[in-house]
Amino acid sequence: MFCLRSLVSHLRRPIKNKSVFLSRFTFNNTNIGQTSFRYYGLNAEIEDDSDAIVNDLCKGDSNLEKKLKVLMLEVEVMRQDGRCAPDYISKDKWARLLKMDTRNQRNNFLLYLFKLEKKKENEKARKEARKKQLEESPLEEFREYPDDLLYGIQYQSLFLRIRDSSMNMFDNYRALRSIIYGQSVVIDCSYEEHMVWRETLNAAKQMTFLFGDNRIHKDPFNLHMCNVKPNGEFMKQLRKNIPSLEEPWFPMNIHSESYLDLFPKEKLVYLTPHCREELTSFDPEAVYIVGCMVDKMNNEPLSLAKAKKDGLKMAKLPLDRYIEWAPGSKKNLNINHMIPILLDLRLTGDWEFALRHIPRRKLMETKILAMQKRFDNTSLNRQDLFKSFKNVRRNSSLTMNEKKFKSKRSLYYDDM
Amino acid sequence: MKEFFKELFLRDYMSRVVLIKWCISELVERVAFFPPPLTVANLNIITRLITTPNTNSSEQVEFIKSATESSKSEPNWSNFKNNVLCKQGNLNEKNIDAVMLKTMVANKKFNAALSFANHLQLSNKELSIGAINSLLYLYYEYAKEYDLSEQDKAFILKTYTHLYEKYQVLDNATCERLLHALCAINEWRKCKKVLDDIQLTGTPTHSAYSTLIGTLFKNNKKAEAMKMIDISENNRRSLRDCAYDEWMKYIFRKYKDKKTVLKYLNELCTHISKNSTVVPRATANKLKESFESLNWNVQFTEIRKQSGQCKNCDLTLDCLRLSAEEFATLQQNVKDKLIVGSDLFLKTSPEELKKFMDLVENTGPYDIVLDALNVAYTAGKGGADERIRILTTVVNHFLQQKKKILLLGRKHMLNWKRGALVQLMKKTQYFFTENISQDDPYFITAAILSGPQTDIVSRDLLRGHRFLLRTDALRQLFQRWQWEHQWMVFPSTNRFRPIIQEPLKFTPIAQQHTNGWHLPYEAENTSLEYVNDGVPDVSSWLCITQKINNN
Repeated sequence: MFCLRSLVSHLRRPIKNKSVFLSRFTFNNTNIGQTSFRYYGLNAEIEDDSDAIVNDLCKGDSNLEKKLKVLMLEVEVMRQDGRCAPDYISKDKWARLLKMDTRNQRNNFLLYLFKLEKKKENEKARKEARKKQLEESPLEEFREYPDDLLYGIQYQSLFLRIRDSSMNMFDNYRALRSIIYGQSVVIDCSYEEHMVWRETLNAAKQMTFLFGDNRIHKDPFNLHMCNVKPNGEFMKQLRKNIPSLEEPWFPMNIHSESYLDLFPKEKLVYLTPHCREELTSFDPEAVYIVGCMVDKMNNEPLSLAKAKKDGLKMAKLPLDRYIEWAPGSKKNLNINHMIPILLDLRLTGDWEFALRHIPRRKLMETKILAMQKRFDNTSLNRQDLFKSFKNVRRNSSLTMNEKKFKSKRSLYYDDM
Repeated sequence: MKEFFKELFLRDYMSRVVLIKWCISELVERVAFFPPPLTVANLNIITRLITTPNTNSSEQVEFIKSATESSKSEPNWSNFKNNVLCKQGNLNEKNIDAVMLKTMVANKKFNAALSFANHLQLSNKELSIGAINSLLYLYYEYAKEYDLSEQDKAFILKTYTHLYEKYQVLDNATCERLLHALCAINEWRKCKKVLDDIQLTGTPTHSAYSTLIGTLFKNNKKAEAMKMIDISENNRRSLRDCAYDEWMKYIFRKYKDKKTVLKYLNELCTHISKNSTVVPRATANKLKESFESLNWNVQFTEIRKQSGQCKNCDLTLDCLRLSAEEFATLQQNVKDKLIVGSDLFLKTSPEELKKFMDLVENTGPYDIVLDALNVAYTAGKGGADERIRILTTVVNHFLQQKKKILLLGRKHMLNWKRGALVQLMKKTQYFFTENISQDDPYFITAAILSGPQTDIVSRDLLRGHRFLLRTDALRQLFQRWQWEHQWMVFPSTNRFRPIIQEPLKFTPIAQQHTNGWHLPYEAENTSLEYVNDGVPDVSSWLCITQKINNN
């Protein structure tokens, strides 16, 4: 990571020693080329591995093999038909395609892969264009005198360099300290079966952010992941995101057992948006549970059901008391918003301050701003538009206060 | 300004509707159909629609369209292709043949398309499967309007054998094209195999089934066709116009005697009625012509929603009550599907369910089950007083008719205004669920378990609950039960007298009377004003009656 960053800063700077720079740069680029080669490889190579994929995935099951071959043909027809299908599909993507039942699902997935592929292609083209431009651009000589000192990375510097790894260790230290002294918070990872693949991926991403946000906070929580399925898709993705996840020193607790086995039941409080009790103040003794789930597709009150089944206390955030919520926005929050809210709440006890982590798009003011923008851009005659709205509003409803005000005024003024 | 918008959003329902209508009026060119503009959530959809660019047309496709439009003589196809390829877009060497053909056929440029097809077949290169697909598409579309040449027919057959030799099993898209092309040359026997192949990776489309059924009728294979119709309906693929069309043609071709023709047309109508289908407009036209040719009286008409009377013949449509057997199936399923579902705890708890079942057993059967929260909230923004008042009005309305009432709500209702509610509870049976449980499944279940004479009162369309019944047959039963038993309460201008709407007096599906038929059809342009109130459009019906003096 650091090497890349320094490379970028190299590029920003005028180059003194061209040969050094060029050799490093080209070295790096061949690397990129090699890794991405399989994505844009020649057709001939792709044809070759399709048989290998069939053998690997089906393992001799003739029905499955038949289906996979049909799917491969389907994708080929899509390519030749002018519909959107990627040129290269990797083995695990085929496995996913094989699990999909309907044509629509497959089409959507292929469209997604197609867009991804195009994005990568464009990215690559952009990088190459930039490389070319850099090579062509003349070098600036910015030394006024030949014996000037140069400052910056790779040159002289006043400061000690703080490497990424040292920052990392500093953050981890704080997280480790919280394992000893901090308050426990449980992330309930038992909802994997209720999520589709994409949601599982999102959940894993949110978990990654959550870990990061927690450890850079002044006073982090002691995080416990409970009900974890070690071989599930969620953990697979999380391991991809955080490779050192299962090292013994890693500052997070991962349990495959339930939170009921780890903590006394009366201390547990399940935070779910579906219940009716509000969390009025933060209890430093309680162990709060947050469900790790992305419920875009499935809007059943799963966490409520779980808490009810386990007989736990439930609570929801007092969102309506402190925030003007936009109509139509769901009241459920991502885990990487929930935990920072709890962190800030514990530190300050100030709801307004803690709730700043809620994404802006869920708030009324954002909706109104967006509407205003759309009205500003409209092609219709604005005067007429407003007039018609105002008429409707005046006729149909007045608030209590307006009514009172109006009736009072009509007492004093004759012309009303 | 900000305040103004806020009010638009929150306070004022009417201006919200106006606002949404305005958004839609801007959109009319882009979206042909839009669901009723009722919620603010719709607004999000509208915004999304406005901001999505139309991605389908590219420079290349535009070029193909305009070039085939303008040129009279046969263009030089290799040059033409090169011209297309040097423009910007997604077309490349691999897919250009297929896309060019498809574009030409979709724009009905058959001369250009045939000439290009000729060019493709004459060139020595082996045809790609994409190009073959497009050729099949061309022949199918062409055969709809003109006759295919022998050469083309031979090509389709040859392609059929060739494709199966090469690939053994075919994919979805190819199968669909092949099936349509085979139907165009009446090779229905081969279609069976193709249909099986589609089943491997998905359900065949409406068009595939209907085309095949049409072809079967065309070839006078009625028994086969009827079997296929059953399969099609079982796969939730209702018939298209082309199938109905061939069916009628078949009847008129085969039978000359008026009475026999009539008998078989009745069979067709019975099929429509059995599946509760709403036929397409084109089919309605053809049905009209068919019956008129038998010297019957056929009119497009409307049904009066209140009485179920046909505006043309003044007959009242029947209320098709659920038979005892049908109601029993509904009774068996409703508790498990609606309350228990996948996880009992999602909607309630075991103790609560047991309490409820005991209550229903001990105090049932009821005449009326009230969805108390739904009725109370008819009051809108008014306070607890208002809600209790409406509830009392409704309860008294039914008490006057000497009905036995079950009041179903949630426990938080008891905090509204204890005294008034206790007064109500003295006169009725009652059950209050926990605040974190759902009350809707309970009131439906109470009504259905109580017996076939029990009615419900709720403004909810209960679509979500109907969906949970899983199978189509059950959903249809539930829908019919709902039409028969659901009262609704609406607010009116008089605050003390809400509108209490009776259940439908008729069943809005195709039905026969002694002298003819009433059939619903799909109106072509349902207006944006149409609000879904759970009843299919009563304004587009077909009234078929026998002329009295005739026959």
